[in-house]
Amino acid sequence: MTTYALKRLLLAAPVLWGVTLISFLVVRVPPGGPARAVLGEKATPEKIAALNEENGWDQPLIVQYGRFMRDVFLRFDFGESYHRRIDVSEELAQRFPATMELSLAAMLLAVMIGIPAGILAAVKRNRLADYASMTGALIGVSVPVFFLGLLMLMAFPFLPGGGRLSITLDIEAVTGFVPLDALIGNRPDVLEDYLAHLILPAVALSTIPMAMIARMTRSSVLEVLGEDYIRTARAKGLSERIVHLKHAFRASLIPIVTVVGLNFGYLLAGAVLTESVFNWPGLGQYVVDAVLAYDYNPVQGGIFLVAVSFVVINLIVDLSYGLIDPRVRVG
Amino acid sequence: MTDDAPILASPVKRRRLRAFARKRTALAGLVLVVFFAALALAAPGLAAWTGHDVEEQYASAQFLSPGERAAGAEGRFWLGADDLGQDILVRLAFGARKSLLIGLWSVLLALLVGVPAGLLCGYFGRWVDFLGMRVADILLAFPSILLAIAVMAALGGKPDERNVVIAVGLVNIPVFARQVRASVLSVKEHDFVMANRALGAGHVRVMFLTILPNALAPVIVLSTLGLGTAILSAAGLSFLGLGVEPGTPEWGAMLTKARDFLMRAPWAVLAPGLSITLTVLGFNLMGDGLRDVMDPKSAGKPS
Repeated sequence: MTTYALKRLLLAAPVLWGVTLISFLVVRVPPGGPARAVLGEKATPEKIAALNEENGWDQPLIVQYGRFMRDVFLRFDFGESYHRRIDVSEELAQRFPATMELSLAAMLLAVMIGIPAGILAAVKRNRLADYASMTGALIGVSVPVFFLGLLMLMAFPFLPGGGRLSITLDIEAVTGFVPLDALIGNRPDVLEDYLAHLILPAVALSTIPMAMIARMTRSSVLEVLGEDYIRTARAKGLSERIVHLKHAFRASLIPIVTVVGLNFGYLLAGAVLTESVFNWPGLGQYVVDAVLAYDYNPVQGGIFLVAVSFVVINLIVDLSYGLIDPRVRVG
Repeated sequence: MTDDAPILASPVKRRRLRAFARKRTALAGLVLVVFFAALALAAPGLAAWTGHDVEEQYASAQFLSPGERAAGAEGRFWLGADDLGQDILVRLAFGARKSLLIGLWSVLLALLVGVPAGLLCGYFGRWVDFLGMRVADILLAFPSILLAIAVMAALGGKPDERNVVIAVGLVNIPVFARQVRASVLSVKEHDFVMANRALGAGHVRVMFLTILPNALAPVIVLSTLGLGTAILSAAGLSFLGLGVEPGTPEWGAMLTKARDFLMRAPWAVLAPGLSITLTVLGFNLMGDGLRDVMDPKSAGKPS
């Protein structure tokens, strides 16, 4: 297992490096340089030069990259927001938990409904349950998540339409994660309000992963059920239920884990659109606002954080293969 | 002919076409796509027929319900009007143009860059392949919307249609490249390829005339599905304000605006939203059908 883990880590390293490079470059590529874009119409050569010097944008790229990496990895310093004069790392620290909460909630929903739906469809193959759930899944994959969000806002006007908490409520930020803080601070009212705010965006965000997980589960279970060792198990006289639970399920797990892992990436990204619809104060919305305002340090930091998280999560998924499928460890 | 790969013989194509036609879901997808393509083509005609120009704002028609008339406007507002009194049906039709064109251009870009890249990597192998695949890995390491946003930021951060095409296309390049590379790797070892090389065919000739035709099938499937995702991504970018310029008739942009008055004029949300959904569904159904037809082994297995 350790060799497998090491191999996976080694493969992830260049990707991680590439991701940092791209986050770094994105901000410095715009025509005319970031200074011109930030200043916009008020740009004069003197102001551009001043801004360049202040941010070190006039240095050779290698030097800039070196400083960027040093600042980020040694000091967690992502610079300052040009417009708001706040440390980007502070803002990232506030926004990250929000996106994580939404993504996790959506993933939970997607898995809790998607996997049973897929299994049901596989077991009742070519009957109504199968066609119904697979049609639903196909539609789910085609619906734009922001449209779905708007539909939900229209359908459930009694639920709060935006934000993470009502403005009137406040909670001591111990961990940064609202549900945890609410529990720690013994504030069930905050928890209730939070959940009311969470449910619509979480459901909206979960639909696409749910659909993909359901489809993948169905095909994976079907494939496994056709295998010889399942026939053997049945021939031995085992009940259908044991055949399904003990033999079929574990083997079908691998593609399911793949799809769950892949979908986490979707969730981090799809969260952007959902956050926009529901005004959920997450990372995605943060990056978009920063891009629209030409505020480059937040863009750089936000993209960096989301991309790196994605790589790390995929790495964790990869490593969990090793746990589930012993063949992978050897091969 | 040594150049003709056996797989591309006509009877196979005809057989596949018939198999495709027999799948009802795939045909349904085709119908959907054709419908929206027709809508796009008919856009100026619709504007003429209703007498409402796409940019025209009729103050008296604000939030008009579908099917109603308004003072100062010539025809009926078949799908109602939005907050500026613009005819939603006409905007929807022009929006179909925008979305379909953006989708087409981005897929074209992805093909033009991704297919040769995959060919080169698969054919030459070794360090070319290694480099190419690491670049693909890095690009694929970003969630697609984030990469699209990053590209928009890198290209200036302003809403711009051309940049949208580049952003959405770029996201798909590694997908196409990977697929083509995989096909190349599997075809490369076949006898007819080696026979061609033995007869003195140059690298380029072998790559394009012999290997590529056999790698085509999965690429066609990917392109069809890719059109769907491209339209989704472009609409998403526009919804965020990072796509087409706000105010342009485009489905995503229409949704952003409609959001502010969604309770007063729900049809302003439903029309573009359903259009996106049905168009993407159409491409997905077609793509699934094509995949089942091209590779019967994967029939019943979703992507």
